[in-house]
Amino acid sequence: MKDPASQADRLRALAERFRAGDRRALAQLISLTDDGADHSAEIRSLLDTLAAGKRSALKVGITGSAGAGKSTLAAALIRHRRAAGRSVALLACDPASPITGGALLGDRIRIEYDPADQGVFVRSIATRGAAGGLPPNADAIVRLLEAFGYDEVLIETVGAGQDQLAIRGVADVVVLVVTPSAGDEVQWQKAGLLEIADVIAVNKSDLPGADATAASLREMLDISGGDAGRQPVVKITAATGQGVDELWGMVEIARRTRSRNTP
Amino acid sequence: MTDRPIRVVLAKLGLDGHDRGIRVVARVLRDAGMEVIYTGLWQTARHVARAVADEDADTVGISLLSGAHLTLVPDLIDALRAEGVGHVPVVIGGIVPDGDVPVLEKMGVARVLGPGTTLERIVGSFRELAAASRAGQRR
Repeated sequence: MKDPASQADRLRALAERFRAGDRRALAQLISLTDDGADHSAEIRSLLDTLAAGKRSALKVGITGSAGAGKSTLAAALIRHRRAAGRSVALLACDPASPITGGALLGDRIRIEYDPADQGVFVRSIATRGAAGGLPPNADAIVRLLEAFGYDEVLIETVGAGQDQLAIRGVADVVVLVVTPSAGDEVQWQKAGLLEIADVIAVNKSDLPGADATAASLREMLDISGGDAGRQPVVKITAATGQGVDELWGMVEIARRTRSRNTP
Repeated sequence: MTDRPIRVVLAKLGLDGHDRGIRVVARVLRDAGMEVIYTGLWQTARHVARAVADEDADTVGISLLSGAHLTLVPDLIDALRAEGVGHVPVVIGGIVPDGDVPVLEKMGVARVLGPGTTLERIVGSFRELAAASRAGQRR
């Protein structure tokens, strides 16, 4: 254990470098936030100071089952947003072993960007045993990325099953990634992911069955959509970038709709 | 910060597609309770350095079976310094002739683990180096 005075000094020094735009300070503050526990109160109050007066970022959650293509979509969105001149950060979450606490964080395998590009930031985080598909301090880490000045923050959840819904509380817009032939209609009718999604992306739409999957999702959602209308369903192929532009358009529309509906 | 997991970036540097070894190491470090960020094949020195910096890694492990270590490692050391993470210990694994080991160490490599290194020694090496790296950073 260190003495509290030196810990406070260290935080102060990091905050100063953070304000000056030092990416390493951001990386280190994320680690401290991720560790949480013995200094979370200090971190949270520091966050309030850092975030004061900053524009808020568009926060987009990417969720879906393991292997659906969440990382590949994140990579495609990073390319799309950088091409549009927007800076973007990605928080990529993977599960940690409940037994050893260890984790294999492999999202970077799919994510390529120019290492000289200061407009991108990618951070891999283990859930450290938290339920819900996100690490316990995900909201605070997202606020850090926002306060650092990224225009857009992408949050990729762990491969989510049916009730890992923590992303709803962190993101402005949630994109659910599904794949063709991922189950019959009854799977979609189970409560959970489909209800928290704002936009549904049928990925790998170059595979057979994509049209049928999209059509059955639309039908399902028409039944439950009501007056608000149903969530949009879009076919994409994240690996090639096909449909990603259309998907982003839907994300922006969903953001406007949601900010109208939530005071 | 009491017991936070050790964070390790593992990468294949340069044109070398032999990843069986590094994947075994990734798995073993994971099972030892570490958070392993595997960046995959064909990484450049600057990609690896950027990952080490942004992921706030405690150590970095590089697998090299291509014989290009004397060219690629100095690039990596430079790139790590340029990213402000020159203090992060570098472990090299793979095929390195005995005579090159002191050369790499002189360049700043913390440890070279060749064929036949036990998994136990690999885990121990990452643990020791991470502990030293953290202690040094906190001062």
